[in-house]
Parts: sequence; structure tokens; C-alpha cells
Amino acid sequence: MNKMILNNGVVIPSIGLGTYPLFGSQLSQIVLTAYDCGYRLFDTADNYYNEEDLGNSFSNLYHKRGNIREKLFIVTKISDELYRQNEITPGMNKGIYFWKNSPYMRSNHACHDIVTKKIETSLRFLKTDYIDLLLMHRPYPDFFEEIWYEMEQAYKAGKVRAIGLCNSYERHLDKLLKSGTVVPMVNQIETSPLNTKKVLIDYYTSKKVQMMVYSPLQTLKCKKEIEFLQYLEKISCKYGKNIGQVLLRYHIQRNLIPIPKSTNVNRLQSNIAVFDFCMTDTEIEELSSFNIDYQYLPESKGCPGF
Amino acid sequence: MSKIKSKIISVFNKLVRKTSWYKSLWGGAEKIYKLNTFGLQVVNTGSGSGMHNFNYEGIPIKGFNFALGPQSLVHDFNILKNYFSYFQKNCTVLIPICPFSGLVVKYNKEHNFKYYPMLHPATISNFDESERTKAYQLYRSPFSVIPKECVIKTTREFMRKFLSIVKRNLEKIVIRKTVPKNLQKSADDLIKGWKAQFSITELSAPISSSHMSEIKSRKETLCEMLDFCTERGFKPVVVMPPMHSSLYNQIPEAFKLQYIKPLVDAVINKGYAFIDYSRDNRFMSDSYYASALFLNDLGAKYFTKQLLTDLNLI
Repeated sequence: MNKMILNNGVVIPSIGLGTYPLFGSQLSQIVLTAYDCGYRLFDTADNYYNEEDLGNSFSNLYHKRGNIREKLFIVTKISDELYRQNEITPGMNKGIYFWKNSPYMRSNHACHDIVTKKIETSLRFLKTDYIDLLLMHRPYPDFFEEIWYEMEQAYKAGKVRAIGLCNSYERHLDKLLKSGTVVPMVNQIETSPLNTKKVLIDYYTSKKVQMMVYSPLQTLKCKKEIEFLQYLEKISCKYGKNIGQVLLRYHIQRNLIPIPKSTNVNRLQSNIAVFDFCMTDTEIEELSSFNIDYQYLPESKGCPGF
Repeated sequence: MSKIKSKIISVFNKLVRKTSWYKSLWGGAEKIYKLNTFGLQVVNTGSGSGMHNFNYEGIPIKGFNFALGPQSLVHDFNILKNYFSYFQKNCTVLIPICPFSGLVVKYNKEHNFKYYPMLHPATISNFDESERTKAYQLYRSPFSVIPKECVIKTTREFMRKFLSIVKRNLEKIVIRKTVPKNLQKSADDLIKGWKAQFSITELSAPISSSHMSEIKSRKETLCEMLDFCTERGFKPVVVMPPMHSSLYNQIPEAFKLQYIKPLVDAVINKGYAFIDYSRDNRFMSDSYYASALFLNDLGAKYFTKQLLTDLNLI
């Protein structure tokens, strides 16, 4: 298992498992299987509403594989609330936390109270006394610096080993470099050959911020991008890998940490078997040439004004 | 049985979605619900004026019209905040203003309804969870939500359409003169309507203190929009679209000084571009106008092309 080193010296696995929207015994089984396949990084968020189930999954894992907490790398996030599975438009943002219009944010210490409570709840649910990486799920424009300040306090208090951002751009990092005391260790974004975000990635990398990739295999669903998919097939044939593996390797060779999700045992195994081949620089460039700035989850709709 | 029921509902939903009464619930917002084009090179916001006066069809540029009628600057800004991920870097954002852009229109629950399927809850004025649920249910399956209303209104509309087709066919036998549009009357009606809407008896009278504070508030919103665009690498341009001379001539200088100039000055003082097409010679012809304020299809395409040429975008 390859690893990377964050700007504060914390070691992070080069690949991880996404856990949205997995719950209950299915999640438990997948965590156990993933661990046996070699996964060590598990990504969740407070608004996936599965932290408690993930915590139970880890308990099950410790029970079956011994006390291996130190081998795991747990990532969770501070977020707004989402509409639940039994509500209309499940998965969409509710606008309850971190928006100045919200009645929950009226008091002067609302941000402190909410972030503190969320971290305590995450620790309790995940059945751990520390989180390896805590991320701000979106750069909420109304409380961006305030949330970061609270995350810095949690980091300094030792509750989290590393802190970072998600879905953030250059201007967000610039703000924190001016106003913050801790340089973010990670920015988790959506990127792909169809949406390379080269300038953004280069900028963050130049500031020693590690990039992670959520939904790293999403572009396999872009059936209209025929030439892109054909090129992936061509590369996959050359290396004897499937197109998912080619895509994950593309991210890894860009020094990004992908966190694919799968409930299929074969795919769990194949998604992590990506460290035994290497594409040429030309192949990476050719994949990147398919860039059309495609966004499957337009960021501004999830976090307006970010 | 439930499969048959679903099929019936599906068929009725398709019929209902074609009707004007259903489309009017969304105030033209369906174009935004269905937006799936990224890398937009030029966009415009705006109210009725923006909706009718911009048309990117046939122009070699990726443009999109986000204007909805009626809509205030605050809602324009909320739309920008929600949809700017669709813009390419350096996208030109056209922000049209018209004579009463500086004044506040009273909150209207009906007009607010269209925003629920397209805006984040934190950016919807007077957000109401029950309205949101209703909007989504109505958008997805109108017949399931208001079956009686759907049957009555859809039937009425199709009957009206049928009768008008019959009438038109009968009228082909009779030679009729085309009734010319009356732009003067359109201008008179607009001025009358605005005066009533904003409680202004005389356009050249001194501005009231409440209107002054409304203009101050709208000025702030406009400036925030401009800074918002720049911060994200977009190029905002404030534009006053063309209007027919019958309307232009009824807006006194005193009104322009009190109600329009503060907005324009705010734009210019911050170093942003403002272009005034309200009296531009290129758009004088009656043939470009559907009403004294709105261009017709021909006029909108022509104006949009000229504006983009003036901005060196095409």
C-alpha cells in the first residue's frame, strides 16, 4: 500500500474507500472486505448519516482483526444538513447550518457551538478518540473562516491529526493563508480527465496541500463521451487492467488520492490493484486532453456563492 | 392495476406539461431547471427586460439567458450564486437594469414558487419547507398533486386552442387588415402600471425617503454582484437595454437623476462597465419591438449580436 505524507508529517494512504450512501450490515461487510483487500482509509461525513454505522463497522473489524485502530485512517467532514432518504430530493442541501439566513446561526457563538458539537458527535459515533483527517465539506461562504478557526482549535487540541477543505478553490486557500494559523493539509475535490482542474491542482500542490478525489470513477458513466471511453478501453487493453483501474491510476499518477466506493467484492479488489502498472506521461496527457470542464455535481448549486 | 394507474398519470402529466397554465407556474424557470451546458461564455440576468431582450440563438458563442420575469436584483444575485459553476473563466455576465430596477417589489408568494426547484434553500427568500415540497411534487407529477385542477385547466386550454384554430381557418375566407401593435399605448400602460405599483404619482416629483433607502439597498446588491463576479474571474457588464421612444420620452430627466443615476454611478465609481442602449440609434425601428419595453425575437437577436460585437466577444 503506497502512502503519501501530508504537510504536517502525517502519513496518509494513497487510496481510500468512499462510504456514501452505505449503511448498516452492508457497510459493515464492505469495511471488513475492504480492510482485507488492503484499504486503510475510510471516508465519511457527518451528513452521510452513516458515521454511527461506520463506527459499528470498525468495532466489528477490531473484533475480527484485532485492535488495529492505528492502522486505519478515518476521514470525516463538517457539513450542512442534507435531506434524508425518506424526504423529497434526498441528498440535497437543507441550508440549515453555516448560512447567515438560518435561524440556527443567529447567535454570536453559533459556529463554535455547532462545529464543536459536530466533532464530538463524530468522535462518539466513529468510536474513536481522534479523527485522522477532518475536512470542511464545502467552503461555506458565510462562515468559511469561522469554521476553519474552530477546526484549527480541534487540531491544536489533538482531537484531529490533520484538517483540510473540500470543493475549494485558490481564493479559499488564499483567505486561509492570510487569516488562519494552520495551512490546510488536504483539499478533496471532484476531478477527472473530463474536468482536469489543472490550475487549481497545481496551485494547491505548490502550497503543499494534498489533493484527494471523490467520485473518482464517475466519468465512466458519461456515455456521450465516446472518444474518451474508447481511449480508456485502449489503455486498459494495453496494460491488462479494467477501465476503472486506468482511471484510478490516472488520479494516482497526478499525485491525487482517489476514494472510490464499491459494494462489489471484485471491484473492491480491482480498485486497489492499481500500484503494479504505470502509464506513460503521454498517456496521462492524452487523457487530460479530454477536458471539457464537466461537472456532474455543479459545485455552486451545492454551495451557492462559495 | 397500479401499473395502469401510473401509465394514466404519466400520460396526463405529459399533456399538462404542454399547457400554458402549467408553464406559467414556473415563470419561464424550466429553462434553468434543465440547464446542462458548462463553460458558458456569456450570460445575462434580469427581469422581464432581460428575458425578452437577450437571445443568443444563431450567435457563435455559448450564451445563456438566466432572466425571469418578474425578478429583482436580489434574485438575479441568488441565481448567479447558484449557477456560476456553469460559467467558464472570463465569462461575461450581463446585468440589465431598467427604469425601476432600484425599487423593491413586494414579496409575492406566487412569484417565489418558481425558485424552489432551482435554488439552494439558503438563497430562497422567505423559505418555506412546505412550499418546497409542493413545488417539487408539482414539478415531478402535477397530475398526482392537483388532479382536478389539471383536468379542468388542461381541458379548457385545449378547447380554447381548438376554437382559435377553427376561428383562424374561418377567418382565412375573410380578408382582414393586420392590426398594428400600438407601442404608444404599450408605453402609456407601462408608465401607468409602474406608477401604481410603486406608488409614484408624478415621475419628476422628488423621490420619497422610502424609495431612497430602497435604491441604496439595491445599489449595495448591485455592487456585491459586481464584486462577486470579479472575485470569481468573471467580467460583469451592466447594461440598459433598448426601449421604444414612446417609453423613453415619458421618462423625465428628474426621474433618471433620482432613480437610475445612483445605480449607474455606483457601477462606474467601482470601475465597472455600464453601457446605455436605451436611446441607441441602431434600435429605433418599430419592427424590433414587441412592446415599448421588450424587443421582439428579431430585435432581441439583433440587439444581442450588436452588444456582443461592441464588447468584442464576437
